[in-house]
Amino acid sequence: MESSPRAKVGSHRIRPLNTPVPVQLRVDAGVPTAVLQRAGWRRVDLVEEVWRVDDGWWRPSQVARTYFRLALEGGHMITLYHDDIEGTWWVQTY
Amino acid sequence: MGTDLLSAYAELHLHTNYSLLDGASHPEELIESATELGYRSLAITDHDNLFGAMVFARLCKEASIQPITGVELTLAEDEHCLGRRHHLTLLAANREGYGNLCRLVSLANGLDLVDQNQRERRRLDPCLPVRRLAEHCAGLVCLTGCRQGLVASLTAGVRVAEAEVALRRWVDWFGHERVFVELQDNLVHGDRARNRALAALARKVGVEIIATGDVHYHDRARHRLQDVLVAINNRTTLDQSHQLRRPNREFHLRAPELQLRRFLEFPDAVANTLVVAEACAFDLTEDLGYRLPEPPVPPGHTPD
Repeated sequence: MESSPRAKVGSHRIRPLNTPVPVQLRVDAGVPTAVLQRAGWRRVDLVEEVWRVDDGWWRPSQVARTYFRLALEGGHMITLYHDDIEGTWWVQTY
Repeated sequence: MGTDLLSAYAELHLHTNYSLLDGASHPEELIESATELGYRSLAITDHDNLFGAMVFARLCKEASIQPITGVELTLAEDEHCLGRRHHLTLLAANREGYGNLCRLVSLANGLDLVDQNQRERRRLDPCLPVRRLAEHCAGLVCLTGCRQGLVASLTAGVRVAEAEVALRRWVDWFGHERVFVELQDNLVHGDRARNRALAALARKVGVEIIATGDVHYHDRARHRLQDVLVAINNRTTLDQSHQLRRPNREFHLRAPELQLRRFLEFPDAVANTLVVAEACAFDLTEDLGYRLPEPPVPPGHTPD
């Protein structure tokens, strides 16, 4: 039997685009000050933008998030959010 | 809370529930919140009507808050209001301005339409052909509007040249001193970038910027009702109205100190709210000068 072509490319490991990923942070007064990445902790140099999304309050799975667009040391940009219901932090492409 | 902060900001863009199927709080609730938050001046700017203006003004006066009478007018560039519409915030500076405000609201609601059916359609869906605005600008302060304002929407769409043309038109009609480029920051994605672009445009044209809250309810929790109202207004469900509803619960009446923090990058925008509040001295409860007629009465009787 021929093996699945998807196995060759490891597509079973592909994550759908835009899926949030948990992230570790240092936070001061609710604002991220450093983000833990593969290379280690990176300082937040600039909070470029902050925005909120509140939606779906009529559904069991409502959304209440505070998003941050951050410039990290070294120039890397990242978007992450705080889930206000669960109290957790996530990285998500926006 | 220091008195400096209490008097540091006036809310000049506020919808009561007389913004039908859009505003989610009664005037009483908004004014009670304003009192608790320490506001000294508050404008009412409902969509295309002045239904709540008098009750708002009276309640403000009872709460020792300066009431400012205004409207958020719906405009269209074409004569029959069939094309894309945009919003403009107008505040009455004096009695002449109030008269013009009333006239503009009447026209937006179809007063001058001869055909009954057309007039009824316009009454249910108010809109003013923009050329009619030019005839009634005296005595009004013009704030360039919310995200659906012409200047803001063109700027956000990176059509800066067109935004400049639009802004210069308001300046031609209202005068340099009476036009303010409106900045709003309700923690909506894109607010900050748009505000920076609007501030740059204002500098280029030589007009001032002004911060407003685009208030649609008195308390954050009321955002749920506002969502429902929007769905009803558009004859659809909550699930299907995602693109029509506001993206978050940040359209409430905010504490003045929070507005100061929100607009740290634009301190003039906050300070100018007090400049405009001072300029809009028209008091609906006192300045109309209505006098009731004195009827003839027989001797020994009083009018009562």
